[in-house]
Amino acid sequence: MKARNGISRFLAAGLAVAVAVLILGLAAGLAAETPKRGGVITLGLNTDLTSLDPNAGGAINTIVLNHILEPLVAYGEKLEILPVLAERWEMSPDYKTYTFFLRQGRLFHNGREMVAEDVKYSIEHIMDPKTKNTRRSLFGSIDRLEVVDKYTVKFHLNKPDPNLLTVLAYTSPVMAIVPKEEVEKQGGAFTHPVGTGPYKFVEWKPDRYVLLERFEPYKPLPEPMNGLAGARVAWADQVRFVPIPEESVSVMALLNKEVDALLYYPIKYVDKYKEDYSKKGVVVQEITGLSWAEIWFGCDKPLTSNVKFRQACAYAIDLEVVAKAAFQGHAQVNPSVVPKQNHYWTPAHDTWYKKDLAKAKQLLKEAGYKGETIPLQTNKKYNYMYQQAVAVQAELKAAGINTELEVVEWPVTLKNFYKGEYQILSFGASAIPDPVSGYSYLRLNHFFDQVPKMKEVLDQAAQTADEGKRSKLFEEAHKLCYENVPLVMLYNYNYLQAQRDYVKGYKVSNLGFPRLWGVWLDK
Amino acid sequence: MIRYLARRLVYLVPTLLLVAFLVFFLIHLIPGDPAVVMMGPDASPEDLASVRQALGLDQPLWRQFALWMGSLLKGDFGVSIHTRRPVFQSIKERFPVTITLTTLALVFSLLISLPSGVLAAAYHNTQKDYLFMLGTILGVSIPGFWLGLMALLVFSVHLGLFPSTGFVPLWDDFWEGLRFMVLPSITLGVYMAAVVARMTRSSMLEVLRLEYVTHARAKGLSEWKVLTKHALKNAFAPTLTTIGLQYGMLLGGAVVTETVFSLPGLGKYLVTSIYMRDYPVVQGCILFIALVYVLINLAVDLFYSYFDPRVSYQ
Repeated sequence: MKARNGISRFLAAGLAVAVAVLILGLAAGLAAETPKRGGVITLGLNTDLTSLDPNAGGAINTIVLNHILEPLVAYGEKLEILPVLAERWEMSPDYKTYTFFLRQGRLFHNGREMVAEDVKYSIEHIMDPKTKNTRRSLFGSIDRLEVVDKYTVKFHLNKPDPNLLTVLAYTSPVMAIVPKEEVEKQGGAFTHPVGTGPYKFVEWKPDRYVLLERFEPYKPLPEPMNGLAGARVAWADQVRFVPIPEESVSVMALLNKEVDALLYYPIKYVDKYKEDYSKKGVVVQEITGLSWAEIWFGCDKPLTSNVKFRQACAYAIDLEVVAKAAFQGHAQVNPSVVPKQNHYWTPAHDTWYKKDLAKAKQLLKEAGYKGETIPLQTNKKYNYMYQQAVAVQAELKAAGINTELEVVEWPVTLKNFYKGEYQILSFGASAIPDPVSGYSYLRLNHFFDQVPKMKEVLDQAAQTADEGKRSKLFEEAHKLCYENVPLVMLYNYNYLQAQRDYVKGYKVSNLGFPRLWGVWLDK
Repeated sequence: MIRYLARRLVYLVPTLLLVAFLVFFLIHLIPGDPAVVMMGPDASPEDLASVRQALGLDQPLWRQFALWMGSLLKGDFGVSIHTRRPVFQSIKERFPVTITLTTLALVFSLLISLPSGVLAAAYHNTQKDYLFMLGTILGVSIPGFWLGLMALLVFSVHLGLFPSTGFVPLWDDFWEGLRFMVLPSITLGVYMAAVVARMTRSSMLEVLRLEYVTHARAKGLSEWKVLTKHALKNAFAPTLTTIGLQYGMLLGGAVVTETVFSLPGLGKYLVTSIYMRDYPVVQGCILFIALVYVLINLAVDLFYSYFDPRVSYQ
C-alpha cells in the first residue's frame, strides 16, 4: 500500500512539473509574439529621399510617406482595392459619378479632423498643373468634386471611368488626403508632411536620416492589415529611415545592429546568409514582387519594326536563362505584363514562345535579316537590367542575331524609353497594379501605331468595371503581345528584405513597400 | 603682399566666370532630360512640357545662362529641380561634412607622411627606405573603395570598434563625431599620405645633399636637429604645394569615401545630382568647389614665402 502511494505521489509530482513547464513554455511563446510598445525601428534604405512632397512621386519617398499619409483607398495583397480613409463608396451605373463616404474621427497630425472638404482640396491640388504631380494625367476623367456633407464627397467625371479607384489607389505617388492649411503654409509643397497616418514627421536630415514618431491619437482601422490597407498599428515610438547607398555596407550595418532592417537584401549575399548570417540573428524574407523586367523593341525602327524579326527574337530568348542570369533564380518567369499574383492573371498569360533556334533562323530569313549589328541599349544603374541585357545578347547570338551592348546612363535610358529612341532596350519598371497602366507603356515604342487594335482593347478595359470582361480583355491584350512581340516580358523579380531576429511582425509586401506599422522590437 | 593678395582675388573673378561657363554648357550638353527623370516615363507630353517651362528649360541656352548668372550675382544659387530646396542651403549643410572629412584625412596623412618621408630620406637606400617605397606604392595603388570596405569589415564588423555607417557632426558631439570619422578619414588619407610622403622624401634627398647640411653635421648638431630644423624647413616648400593640390582634389574626390561610409557630403551630392540631371545643383556645387580650390591654392601660395624666403610677393 505504502509503495503504491509513493508511486502515485511521484507520478502526481511529475505531472505537476510537466504542466508547469508547459504553462511556462506557452507563456514564453506568447510573450515572444505579444507586441510591445516602444523603441526605435531603423530601416536602411539604398538611397536618400528626394522630396517630402507626395506629388513628387519616387518609390523611396513613398516608402517614408506611406507612414505619414493615407489615401482614400489602397491596394491589398491580391491587388484588390480596399477602403482606407473612405469607408465605402458608390459608383453610378454610367460610371460618371463616384460617391465616397468617409470614415469619421480621422485626425490630421495637426489635430484637426479630416473631412470631405480636405478630399476635395487634395484631389484638386493633385490635378493642378502647378503642383507637378507626376501622375496628374491619370485624373483626366475628373470634371469636378462636390462636398455633399461633412463626410461625403462626390466625384463628377467628364466621361465614364470605371477604374477611377485604381487611380486613387496608385502606389507611387501616394494620392494622399492632406490638410489645405498645412500645404499652403509650406508654399504649396510639403517640406514637413502632415497627414492622417500612424506616424508623424519629425525631421529629415538629408543623406543622414528621416525620423518619424508615433501619432498618439491615431486609431488603427478595424480591418486587418492587408497590403497598404487595413490596420496600421504603431508599436514603435519612432521609426528612422537611414540611406546606405553601398549595399555591402548596408549588410554590415545590419550585422552590427546599427539598423534593424534593410529595404533590399543583396542577392549576391543570399548564400552567405544561409551559411553564416542566419546564425547571427539575421532573417531574410523573400516574396515574388510585381516589379517587372523586359526587353523592348522599337516598333518604328529598322529591323525591329518587322514582326517576323521580333518573333525570331522571342524564339531565341530563353526566359529562364535570362532570369537566372539577372537574379540568380530569385525571380519568377512571366511572359505577361500581368503578374501572376494579380487577380486578372489566367493561364492564357503563360502562352509564349518556347526556345527554338531553328524557327528563329527561319523567321530571320523571312524577315530579310542579313546579320546587321543592332544596338541593345542598357544601363548599369540597375544591375539587373545590365545582366539581363548580357544574357539576351548571348541568346540572340545563338540564333544568329548580332547585337552590340550600348551602355548609357539612367537619365539617357529614361529619355530614350520615353521617346521610343531605341531598337532593342533592356528595361524594368516598378509594380503597376492595374494592367491597363502597364500595357499603356506600349504607346511609347509606337506599338499602338503599328497595331491599333491594342489601344482599342485597352480603352475598352479602361471603360469597364466588370472584372470578367476586364480579364478577357487582358487575355486579348496578351494575345496581341504574343502575336506581335512588341516586347519580351521576362520575369517579375523577388523582393528580398532583411531584418534582425528581434524585429517582430515585419512582413514583406508584394507591392514592394515596407510597412513599419504592425512591427515591434522584442529585445 | 597686400597687393599680391588683392591681385589674386581679382584674378578669382575671371577664373570663376570661366568655370561657370564651362560647367553650365557641359552639363547641358550631356544627354538626358531632367523633366523625364523628375516625372518618370508615365508623364504625359503636356506635363513634361509644363515642367520644362516651369524650370526654364524651354528657354534658349544662352538665356538660361544669363538668368543663372544674374541670380548668382545676387547670391542665389538656384533651387534643386528634384528636392526644390535652395542649392546654397544644401551646400551649406554638406560642405562642413566634406571639409571635416578632408581636413581629418589631411591631418592623418601629414602625421604619417612627414615623419616617414623624412626618415626614408635619412635612411636612403636602406631596408627602411625600401619598405617605405613599398608602402607608398601600395598607398597610391589601393583603390579607396576597397580599402574602405576592408576597413569596415575588420574594424567595424569583426572588431566592433567603429560604426559602419552614419555621421554625427563634430560640433554637436566631438568624441562621438570623431568615432564616425576615423575610418573614413584614414581611408581618404592613405592616398594623400603616400603622395605627400614621396614628395617629402624627394625634397629631403635634394636638400640633404646641399653643403649647408654637411656644414650643420660638421658643427656637431644632432641628426634630429639637422633633419627637422635645417633640412625639413627648406624641403617643405614643394611639399606644401603638393599638399595644397591634394587637399583641393580631395574636396571633389571624396565622393567614393562618402558613398562607402554613407556620409552626407558634398561630393556624393554632386555625383547624385549629375545622374539626376539636377542642373542647378551641379552648377552650384562645381562653382563652389572651384572657389574653395582656388582659395586653398591662394593660401598655399601665401604660406610658401615662409618656407622659401626667396619667394617675394612684391
